[in-house]
Amino acid sequence: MIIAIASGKGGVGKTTISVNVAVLLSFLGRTVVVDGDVALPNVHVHLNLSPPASLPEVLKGEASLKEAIYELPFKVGKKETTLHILPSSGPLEKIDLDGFPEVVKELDKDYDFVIVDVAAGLSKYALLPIMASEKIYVVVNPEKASIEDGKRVISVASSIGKEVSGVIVNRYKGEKALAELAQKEISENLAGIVRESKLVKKAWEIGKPFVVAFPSSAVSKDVAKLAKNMAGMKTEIKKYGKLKYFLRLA
Amino acid sequence: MREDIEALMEDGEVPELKGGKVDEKKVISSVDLEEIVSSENSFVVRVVDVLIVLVAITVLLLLTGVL
Repeated sequence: MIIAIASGKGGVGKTTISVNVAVLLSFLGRTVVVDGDVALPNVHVHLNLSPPASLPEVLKGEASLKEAIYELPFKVGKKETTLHILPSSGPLEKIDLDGFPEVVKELDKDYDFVIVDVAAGLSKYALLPIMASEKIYVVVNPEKASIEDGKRVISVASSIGKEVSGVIVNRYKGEKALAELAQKEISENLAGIVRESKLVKKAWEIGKPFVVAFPSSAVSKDVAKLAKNMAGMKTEIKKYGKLKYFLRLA
Repeated sequence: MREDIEALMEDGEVPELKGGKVDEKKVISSVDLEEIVSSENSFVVRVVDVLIVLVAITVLLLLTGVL
């Protein structure tokens, strides 16, 4: 299953969601995260990796797919798992992405979940990964501007005959009305609500996904629900208000 | 926006689309993800959560002059 994690604009937490969801999905099946944002790659930074070979080298034919995939063991709570990464680090240069769909299709043969962290906005860097994906999720922040930006992904997807599978509201602090607006404007399927948490930044600083660094946190539980929805195990996502967020009752 | 996409399509070969079908059978494990993330220190976290809520309620009551 090829899953694209997209957004209308950068900075909404798309890579954080991609990496953390992928760690949890790896418990359900063989999972690989692909950094489809070749212009501004970030996945390797989140995971503290300095890969010698990555996606641009594969696309240029300078490295094989096997050489550019890295295996990372993780422990979430008491359970161990392995996540595979196809990063995109490399020198800033114009990269021809035409071969990208083929790379992703090749991965789909070997993996149960191929999570593609898509570049933000409307460009070839965003379009080709979206074209290659079976499911498209749009990440937004609970802000009107971010939801408006997220609508651009719908336009991109529909222009190539694809539908957005769901919306993910990230950095949620109880903005119930805005979560409802995201559902109305982007996708009726609210795949997940991931709350604002200081632990996200802390985990980023130590170079670990937050579901690994802080598995029992509320934000990790939010991602677990999201991962279940992505895997097709329907889980109810409750929209809660500011008081419940503040008192940590949700 | 539409023009940009069309120009892009003219640029190169359009990759074959898979049509958005999802093979649910590919999910090979029935592990409960919510259980995995709550398996470590969940008791400690719950106690801390309860304490935070109690402190918040006390502060609220003090501010409103009930206590």
